[in-house]
Amino acid sequence: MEKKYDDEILRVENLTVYYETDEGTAKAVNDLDFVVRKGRTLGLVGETGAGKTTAALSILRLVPNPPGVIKSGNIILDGTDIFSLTEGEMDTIRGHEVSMIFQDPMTALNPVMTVGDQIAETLRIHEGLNKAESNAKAEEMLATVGIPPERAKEYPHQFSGGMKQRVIIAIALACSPKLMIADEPTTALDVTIQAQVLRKMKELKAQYDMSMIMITHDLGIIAQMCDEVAVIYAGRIIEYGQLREVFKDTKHPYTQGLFDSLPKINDNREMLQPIPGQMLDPMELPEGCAFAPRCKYATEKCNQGVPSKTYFGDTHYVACWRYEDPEFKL
Amino acid sequence: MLKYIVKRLLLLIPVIIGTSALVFFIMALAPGDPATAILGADAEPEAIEYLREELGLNDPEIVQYGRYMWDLIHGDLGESYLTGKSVLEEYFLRFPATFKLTLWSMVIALLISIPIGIISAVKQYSLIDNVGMVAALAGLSIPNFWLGLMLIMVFSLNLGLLPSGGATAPGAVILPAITIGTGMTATITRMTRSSMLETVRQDYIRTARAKGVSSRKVITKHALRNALIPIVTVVCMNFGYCLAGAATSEVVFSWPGIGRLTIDAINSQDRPLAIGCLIMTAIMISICNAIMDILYSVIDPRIRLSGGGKK
Repeated sequence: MEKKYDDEILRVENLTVYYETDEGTAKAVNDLDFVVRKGRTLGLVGETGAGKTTAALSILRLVPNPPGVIKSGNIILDGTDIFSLTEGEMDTIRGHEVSMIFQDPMTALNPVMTVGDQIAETLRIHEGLNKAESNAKAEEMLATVGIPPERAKEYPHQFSGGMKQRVIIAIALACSPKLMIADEPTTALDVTIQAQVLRKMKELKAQYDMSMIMITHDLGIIAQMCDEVAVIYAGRIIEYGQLREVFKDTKHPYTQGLFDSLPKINDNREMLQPIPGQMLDPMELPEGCAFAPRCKYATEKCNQGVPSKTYFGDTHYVACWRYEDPEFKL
Repeated sequence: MLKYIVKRLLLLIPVIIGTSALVFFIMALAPGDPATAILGADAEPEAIEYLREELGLNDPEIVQYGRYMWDLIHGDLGESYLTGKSVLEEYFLRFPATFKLTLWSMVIALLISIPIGIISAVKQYSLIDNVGMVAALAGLSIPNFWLGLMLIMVFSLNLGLLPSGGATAPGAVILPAITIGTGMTATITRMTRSSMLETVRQDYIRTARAKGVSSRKVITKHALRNALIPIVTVVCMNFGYCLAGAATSEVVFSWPGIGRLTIDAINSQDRPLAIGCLIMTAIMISICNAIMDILYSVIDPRIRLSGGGKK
């Protein structure tokens, strides 16, 4: 359970999500806890398949069901438990209080609707604007993300990837949400465009006074965008803390591995150090620490039970058995 | 748009040449002699020979075909051997009946197939989906003539509710329309289901949900239009085939349509009428295809008729 804050926008407690298929049960998210505070950005970092997107979709209650089942947990959004809401009430939250930006801008826009109409639609739903008002506001939103407003009448295929992602950002921002979830917003874009989009997002986040969850596998983006960082492995947070704490005082062997697999500009003699092995199949998670099979520090204890949290200071914690020994250092 | 229509009209030329050549030479190869067919088997050989000369049947086939094409270029499809009326006149005398039957069958098919297809996709593996898919399989498998006969037996003979044939009695269109509509319903239902199933998994559907669009509106507004292209394809193709005359059903219900006209013309060796009917059918199917292309471009902004590509 996370510490209580006065300015928390989102609290996720013990969230567990499984995908139940005929082939077996994939334990995508296991007992996840985190808090997002007002005006701050939480980074969720981890490999593909770590459960980041599933966690994000759970906040909007959009985990595809079947096969996805939310087994347990609470999600408190600005004081409201979203699992107690009806589908209709949920529709008033989606896109209004919480928006989401998806990974692939190429497929995330409806190809048969003009971009202006796609922005205006969310305004009509949530702000009760009529057609003319919503279209005018949609053009305004396009201008906000740096697209000439007269392009509102064009279709998604007439835009480049970076432009499409900005349109998606415009849709997400249209109703000034309290929380924006960005799921790998720049993964599908060219590096030069990535920087532009990220800068725009950071700027708009301040302008709209939003909180943000930034989901990525890119530690560079985390460093640039986030205040807090949660490192996720096999659906669990294995290390959490302020950006500085996690980057400068890395505790978990997996987090260490992520940093080691980045190229270092000052040291070009050394080969990159990949983390050995592969992430486990979420259908076959072990009893103990899910990272143990790939961990060079693993001991017998690591295979027995899920590691509990060890705190270093107020917020920084790690879920690793080896820290039971106060002498242990990476 | 205008450019497109002109292009489609020009495309009709090879279609007409191809169809006419194919039908003409198949008819020429077919056993039997038109002159004998017209005059009857016990006519005088001299009379038959005279008629053959009159109709130009003694010339080589290629000359006959050339003569036919020359007339065709001048808009003349010839006269029916049997009735002596112009082929076009015969065709358009029967066309309204076939058009009416096609329209009714299509209305029945669309009213049933689109809703069931959508529900089947949205609630995959539900009761409606399972029942619907079994029914669709049955609908596809049942031969038309058998279904027609069964309907006549139940609704005309046993219950006496509806006429068993002809086109004049009130309600006469119902049984043949159901017969033809059954197969179409099955095809369109399956196409709607599979197309919707694919569409609802797209990322933009998730985007729409994340915007707060209700689940119902996501289906009707976002998914359906995107799923429409394959549906429009099968609808237009079925419409075209049906305009060619659903021969079996028209025969079973003695419906005075194009299908029966064509079959009768072939059976009685009435070459100009048979070729004329098939050419008209080819034209009708071409028109349906053109309408289909226009509908594509209305549905999906990425498809442009001129073929000039994106701007």
